[in-house]
Amino acid sequence: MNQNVQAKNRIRLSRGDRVFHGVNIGIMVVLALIMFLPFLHVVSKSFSADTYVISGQVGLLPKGFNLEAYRFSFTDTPIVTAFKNTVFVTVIGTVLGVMATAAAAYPLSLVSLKGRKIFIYYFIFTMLFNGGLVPGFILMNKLNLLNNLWSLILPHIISVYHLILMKTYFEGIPDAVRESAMIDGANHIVIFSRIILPMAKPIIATIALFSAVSFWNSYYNAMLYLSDPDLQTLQLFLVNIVKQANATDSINTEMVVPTDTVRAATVVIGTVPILIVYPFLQRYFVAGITLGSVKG
Amino acid sequence: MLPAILLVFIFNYIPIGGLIMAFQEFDILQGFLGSEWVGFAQFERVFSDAYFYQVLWNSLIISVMKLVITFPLPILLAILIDQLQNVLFKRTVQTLIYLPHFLSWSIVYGIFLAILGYNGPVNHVLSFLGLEKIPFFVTPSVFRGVLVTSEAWKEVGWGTIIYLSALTAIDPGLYDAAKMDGASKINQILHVTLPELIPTVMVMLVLRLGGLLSAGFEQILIMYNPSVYDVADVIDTYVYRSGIGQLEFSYGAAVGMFNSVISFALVITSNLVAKKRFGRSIW
Repeated sequence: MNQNVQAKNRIRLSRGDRVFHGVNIGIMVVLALIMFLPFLHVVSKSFSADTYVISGQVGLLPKGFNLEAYRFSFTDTPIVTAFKNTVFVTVIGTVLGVMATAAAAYPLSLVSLKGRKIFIYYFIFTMLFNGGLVPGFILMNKLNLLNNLWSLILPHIISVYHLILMKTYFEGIPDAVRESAMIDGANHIVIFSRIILPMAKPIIATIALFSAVSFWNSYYNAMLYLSDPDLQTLQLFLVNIVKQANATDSINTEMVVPTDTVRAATVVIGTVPILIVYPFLQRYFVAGITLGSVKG
Repeated sequence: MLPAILLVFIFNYIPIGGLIMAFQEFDILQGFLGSEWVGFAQFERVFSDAYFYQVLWNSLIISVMKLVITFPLPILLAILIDQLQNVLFKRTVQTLIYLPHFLSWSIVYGIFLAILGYNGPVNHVLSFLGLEKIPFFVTPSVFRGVLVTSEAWKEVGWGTIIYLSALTAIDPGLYDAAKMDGASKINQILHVTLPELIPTVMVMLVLRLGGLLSAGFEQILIMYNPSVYDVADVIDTYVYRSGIGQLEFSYGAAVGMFNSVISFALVITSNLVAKKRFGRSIW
């Protein structure tokens, strides 16, 4: 059917329309290149010899191919520690986040919940107004959570945006499903764990990915709350290496290591995990965004 | 639901209560009870500080520049992508333009530094053309442009999604009717696609205006440096440097509170408008 329509369109294309399609494809190719070439450039730099990088001779292909920058990144920088910390924060944060969000979204989705509106406003208000950086910092100080990886996890377990998305999804499950289970004598806990959760797999996957990406990518919390180098996260490490590659090199005087290439290599290493999960991200994120906007 | 209520209470409501420090000369050792009360003195300091107005202006101008560039582009691109006939090509384009959205600002900073840096291809081309090299990240006159460009590179592709989904909802009958009348592709876009998209565009615009004071904290925090403070220091980064960097807790809290109150008013107003005029809102 679709092909049929396309075929018809193609026959009917006027000269002006053909020009339009040609120009459009041209624009898209340029756009795709704008997105893609920067990656290619950074990858080439990371595999190139320093002399070529400094003289600006590395464009889209590596020159003086070598793996020195990667060897240096893994052996002489704390990148492995940074990875471990970020994985810890991301995994624990995502698991706790999905559990707490689902457990809160279910009662909020029930019209029968007493004071439902009040609870919903209780959560939504925090999206609109916040205390800001300084009181947050003082709180972490008083809780003794400074220089503790949990300071990155605890405040972000509940994202009200995710909570609303999940609540909306639960509301879309027909009441009849729940009522028939009630008649069979199931209580809310049984209904939630045996019936609602299995039906909610797509939204759970979406929210797990949403929250994993935000834990993985978050920078300023780590910068604010962590000063111990052993606790640095991947993003903190990346910013430090990109900003201070020169400084670190001058300290290790015997290390004649290319700074630009090390920067490039760490950027590539930091990008790979996102690339690996990207197919899932694209699928579920697009679904999530559309869900949010339709119900919005 | 209890864990969620507790977590939100501790990590969202307690800091809001903590804003009382904006009315004190907060001493971290004395705590909230022991610190001296100073009324509105911190706010008087804020409003008589010339640098505060500079920071406020920077936030607004960067935010508006980003709006002007990154708001219309996704609409235009979505319309063009929607017109692509070849499904495989369309998917490839979408896959590529969504990707940067998932990269952290640290990565995007690294990529832009590689491209715009002193040894990067852009400066290579400049010197090849006989022009002077530009140290983009430390030149005040171009730094805001760097912020807007990197924001656009990261988010414009992603921004097309909402419009692409609105475009699929357009009744194909409208296009057929236009074709019958002999409308060309361009005319179909101007007279069918655009009018049908207007409601979505308006809602997105109004909601965007609610965030007018947020110029992009994490991005600027990562990308800026002392040589561009004059043009790129925004409210959030100023709160961070004065409130935590220089341990002026109460002053920082006062600036932060100003920011929260104005943003709150903006979001509420924009949502009311979106709801009244277009029947849509974020809650």
